[in-house]
Amino acid sequence: MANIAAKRIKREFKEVMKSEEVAGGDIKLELVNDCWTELQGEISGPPDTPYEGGTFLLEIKVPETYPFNPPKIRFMTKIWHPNVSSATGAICLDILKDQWAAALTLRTVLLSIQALLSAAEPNDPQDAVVAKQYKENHELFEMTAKHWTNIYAGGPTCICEFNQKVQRIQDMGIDEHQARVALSTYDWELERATEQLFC
Amino acid sequence: MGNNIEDDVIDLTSSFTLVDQRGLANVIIDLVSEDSFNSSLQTKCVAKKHSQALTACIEKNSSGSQKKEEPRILKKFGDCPICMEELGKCPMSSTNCGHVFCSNCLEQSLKFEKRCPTCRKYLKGKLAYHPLYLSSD
Repeated sequence: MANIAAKRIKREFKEVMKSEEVAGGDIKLELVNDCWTELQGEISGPPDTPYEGGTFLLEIKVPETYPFNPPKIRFMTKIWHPNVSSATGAICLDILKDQWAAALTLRTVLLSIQALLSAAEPNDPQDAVVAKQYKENHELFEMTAKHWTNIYAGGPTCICEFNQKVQRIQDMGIDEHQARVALSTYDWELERATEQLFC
Repeated sequence: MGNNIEDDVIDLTSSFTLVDQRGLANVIIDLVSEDSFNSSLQTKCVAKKHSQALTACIEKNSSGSQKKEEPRILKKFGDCPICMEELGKCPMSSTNCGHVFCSNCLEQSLKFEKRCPTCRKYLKGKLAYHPLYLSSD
């Protein structure tokens, strides 16, 4: 790893550990390997959002050319959000792409991702299905996002109706997550979700 | 005691007038000669208290400015936003938008993208950045 990249990540790591946000439990940063190329981030779901009470893990890969190129970050915790792929966890955020600036840090990036959870950009989506639901059936979007937060991120709101529907499809021999994706995609209509899974 | 004169402006360079809001006559006190303090016991106390407070204030200010002159504090410029090392240890440069980096860090960054590493202002040409020289002691 290039000297400046490793040196900077070490400095950043120290500073994140001293930050208010770490003390307040808003963000966390952990080392995955000894050569400072891979880290694991953690953000808490912001208050007054469907993600409240959830804890979301992020995979952070630091390129050789850091900080001149952005870190590669994706959600490891499954999340229902217009700007995050529900399949891969890929994030659509300008500062992780063409708007990156070398003065940005892992701390500011984690805080920006947390802010993205409070303020989605449905017109610049990463997941078109989620963005469509966000715009056309917002109440159902919020319920689905809360349900995913409960199941995958340890969120507090259990939506029994959704759990029962997932179980119904599981009983037909379908994998739990696959069932949840189909139901979420088809606005929790059991018939349409089943149809899509068996066609 | 003395609460009633808080809003009064007192000119200590010459004699001044104290207005007692509870109806006592205006008293002129000359701070240079002690004699005029005898006119009213109450006014005397107030004036003394004031001059004590003023002395305390002057002392506080002078000790504060002494602290600021410690060389270590003056020499800190913060860290380079790119390498996060303390600025001033290596040659420094400023962009024309006013952001300061180690010269090496800035030059390396501009090879990747011709924008300011802090504010993303487009930087092109010879005037995009310039070295900064600090006078040493």
